[in-house]
Amino acid sequence: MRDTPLIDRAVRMLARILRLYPQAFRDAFAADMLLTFRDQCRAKYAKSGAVGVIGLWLITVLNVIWEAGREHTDSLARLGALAWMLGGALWVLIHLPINIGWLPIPIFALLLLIFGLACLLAQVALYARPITLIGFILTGLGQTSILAGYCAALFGLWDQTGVPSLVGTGLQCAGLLMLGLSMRYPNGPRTAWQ
Amino acid sequence: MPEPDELLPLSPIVYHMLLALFDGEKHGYGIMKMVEDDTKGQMSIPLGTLYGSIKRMLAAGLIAETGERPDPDSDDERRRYYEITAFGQQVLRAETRRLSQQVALAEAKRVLG
Repeated sequence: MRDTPLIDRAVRMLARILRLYPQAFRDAFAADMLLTFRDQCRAKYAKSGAVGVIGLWLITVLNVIWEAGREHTDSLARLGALAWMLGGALWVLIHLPINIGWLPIPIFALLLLIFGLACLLAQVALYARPITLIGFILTGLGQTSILAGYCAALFGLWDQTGVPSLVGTGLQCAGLLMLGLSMRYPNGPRTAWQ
Repeated sequence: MPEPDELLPLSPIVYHMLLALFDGEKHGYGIMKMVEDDTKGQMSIPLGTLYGSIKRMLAAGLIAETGERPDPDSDDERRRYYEITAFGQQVLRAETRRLSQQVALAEAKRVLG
């Protein structure tokens, strides 16, 4: 079927905007999306003429820009959860009663945790709650307990019994387990609040 | 695979897309049209939202891509067709039951008078 130049141009311009999506998404769906958009344009042109096609194009472009941002945030949130898990695992490692004796590990763990936290907060801002909420809370509680225990010991407020550190490490491990379980299903269908 | 109830509540878009595919396999535009017709024009799914949902529904195992084409001669080979999976049907039934219970509750309270 031969289309009007307006429809051809609308599809070509949308094809450029689809480059905003992550590469993997484009590889999987871009060609199909353009076919679907061409079908939409044909139907709109038959019903409302050129004005209808221009209106459809504008609405589609805004929607595609928004959804491409969401796709990037999804990828980032997954990466963030992985960084959070890895940072948390290293954090547990350095608080075990063994001397691993390599100074950059705590710094590396901290950087991973900060990056993971930033990614998860971006997810919270966008979707109202992260899929990894329970793991996020447990690991946060675990790290706070460990830090509180160390600070207390440092200022002589508490005998260094190791109890806060032990509780913190336990919470941290539980949090990591929950994060691992929730990573099993990171891209489920969005619920109504999303 | 999670239990069907773990995925509830479904968003209205996902629910209507599953309903559209319950009748048989469709391509993206077919799903879009069916949802619009089913809801008498009250719901129209924009292109980006449609394919974002398709991606997540594929990942969740609610739908699958079909290898067969209804009319291979007249169709573009780049066009992809989707069908509801057995798990997708279970989730659709679970969500329909959940919605029915809510409607029954509203009726019992005479919300509509």
